[in-house]
Amino acid sequence: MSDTAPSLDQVRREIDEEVRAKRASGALPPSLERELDLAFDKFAPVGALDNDFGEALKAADRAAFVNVAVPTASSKPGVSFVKRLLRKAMAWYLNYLAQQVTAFGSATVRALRALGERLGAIEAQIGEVRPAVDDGSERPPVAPDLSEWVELVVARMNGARGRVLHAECGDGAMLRALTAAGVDAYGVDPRGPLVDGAVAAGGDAWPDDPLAHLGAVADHGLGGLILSGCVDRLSLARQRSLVELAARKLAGGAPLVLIGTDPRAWERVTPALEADLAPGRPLHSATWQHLLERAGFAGVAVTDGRVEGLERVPDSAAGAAVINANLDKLGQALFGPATFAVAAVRST
Amino acid sequence: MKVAFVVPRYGVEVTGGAENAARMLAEHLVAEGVWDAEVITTCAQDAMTWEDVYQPGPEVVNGVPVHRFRSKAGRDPGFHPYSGRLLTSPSQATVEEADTWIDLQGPLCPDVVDAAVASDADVVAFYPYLYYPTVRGLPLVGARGIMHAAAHDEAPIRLPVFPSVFTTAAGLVFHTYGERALVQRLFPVADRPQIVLGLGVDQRHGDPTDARTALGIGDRPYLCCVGRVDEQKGCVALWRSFLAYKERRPGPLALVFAGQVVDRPPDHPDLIVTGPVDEDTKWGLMAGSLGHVSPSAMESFSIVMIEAWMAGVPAVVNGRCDATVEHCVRSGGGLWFSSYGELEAVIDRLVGDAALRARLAAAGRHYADANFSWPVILARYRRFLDGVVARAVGRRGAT
Repeated sequence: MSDTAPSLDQVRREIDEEVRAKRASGALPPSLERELDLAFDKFAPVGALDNDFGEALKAADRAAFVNVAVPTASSKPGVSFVKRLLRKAMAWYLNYLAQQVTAFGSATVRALRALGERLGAIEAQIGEVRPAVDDGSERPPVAPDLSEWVELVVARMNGARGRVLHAECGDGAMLRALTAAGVDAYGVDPRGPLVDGAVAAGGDAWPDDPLAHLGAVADHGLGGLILSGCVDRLSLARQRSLVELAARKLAGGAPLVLIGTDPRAWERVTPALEADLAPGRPLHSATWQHLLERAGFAGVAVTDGRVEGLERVPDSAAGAAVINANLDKLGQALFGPATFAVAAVRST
Repeated sequence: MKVAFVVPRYGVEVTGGAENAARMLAEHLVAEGVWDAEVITTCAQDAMTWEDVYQPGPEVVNGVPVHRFRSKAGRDPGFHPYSGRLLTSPSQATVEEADTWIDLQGPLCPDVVDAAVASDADVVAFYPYLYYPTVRGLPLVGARGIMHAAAHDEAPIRLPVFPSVFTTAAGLVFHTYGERALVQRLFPVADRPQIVLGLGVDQRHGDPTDARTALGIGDRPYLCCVGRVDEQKGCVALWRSFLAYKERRPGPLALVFAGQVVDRPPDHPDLIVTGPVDEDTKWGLMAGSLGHVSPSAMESFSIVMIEAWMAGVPAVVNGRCDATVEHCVRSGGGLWFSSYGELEAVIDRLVGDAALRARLAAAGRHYADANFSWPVILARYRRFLDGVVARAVGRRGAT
């Protein structure tokens, strides 16, 4: 195999361009495509066209035409003749009805098309002002280091009555610690390569968007919830949605631990690409505390992470005591804790 | 440890995706010897009537203990008109109407449900979501009950009887990520233990030269389509499209249909219709082709597509089919079409670019080996079953 061989995506793009060019040049007669595509559409799944408005509209357009030319073929002698006779005799009546139904169908499709165009224009305008949706594909698949929080998380989740979800689970390091402690834990992360690693290491992990996944969980279905990563990048509206979803999906009395990045440390500890392309920004621990309490969580407590200060001079050095005391003050003022954990319990 | 498979019909004579999948899995589990397996089923062979054909009672099928029970009723004559009316707007149906739909569809087999409940198996696995045994039995087996849903994006899945079935399952087994996404879109089950398992495939070898000779293909290049030749499988649309292609691209290329013929293609020098073929011939036919075409939009997995990759050829699939497109995207081993124009361009590429064919075939082969060889499937399934048992034990211990 050659390294210069085109990727599947590239082959698909070339095919798309080739087909577009053929259609534009008339080399692909629309009537031919329409007839053959209809034959395939006849047995398409119910929702196959649902996600593509253009395709759904095309299908509606095709179906708008009511054909009164009823098939008359028959294997029985004489029946075909009778069918043809009936078709001819009833043509005046069926044509009259079919014309009205077809006209209604065509008018409806035209109205839908106009509506679609207006909606498209609004979507384009909204797209310019809204934050981008974070689908994980633009973030490097680098596993987060949550090692300093393992002890706290395991202690909180131990004895959870039901499954515990970690969103986003990265390479599954936290899942492994929880599983080792006897917790029935699983995780989601939109970054496929990280999930593959988590699964390969024996974890129960899925390449899902955290919010979408939470939305598909049964109400009060979770025995515990750990939120990390996504909490720092979501837009404010989605951060609020996340808290509301957490409250709805956790069983009464179930623990939650949210691991966030301090906004003052965000620029320092987050890779430039990830920070620049994030749809939102991290919230302060006090803000999470406020949102969780409002959503019905009890016992909300914040724990600060460790401070990575400036390197201290050896105690044997001249003036070490004074220098180190000043370095500690400087470190605290400049850096502060990079991360924090907010632990809470869903009120019963 | 033991798993009991509960299926509406079972036997070597039964041809059906879900039923075959259950049988293959049960037979391989028993052969492996780590988990025991048994089957609880009806005496039916035909999914259109559910008529009792097999003798009731215990028997052993390819090493697997099977317990058969008579049905109280098969498919009711009034089912189709009732279904036609109900499925025009399935989500508007009442639970009572949906319950009636389940009963009329058949097989109405309370004895199967009773046997599933009474089974001493550690896990009771129901296949597929659609029928009476699963709908009535799954809610009764508690934390032992898992479901191999074999869910399709079809009208019945929107009937209001199914949310309680899906949310009752202690575990869900899917064929593809697309099936999982569909189920999660329709039911709040994301927190349920689940696995995307797929289906195991036994690789065989066939000689392309022998297949060409046996099927009268000669030395012309060809694409093949293996499986039931049926309009519902997209075969009519495929042969019409292929003949249109050949009018625009005259040449020696042929399309070979191999499998049971339900809808016969027209007599045409570029269409070769073989009817059913033996396994050696099938593998030889696939190995000698330029690619395998899967025109169906309604596949839940497509074993034959995985077989084609194991035979070393690329795949061409219908872009309307989530499952087969997913295989292509995840493997990089195939191309898909959503219009005649795309099909024409895809065939042009496959016929004219040997390097692309080789690249697609190699990627598909790697994907098939890594995911769907039986040792891989069994190891993953056993681990999933172990988890179900552990949770069931934990739940019993907690109460």
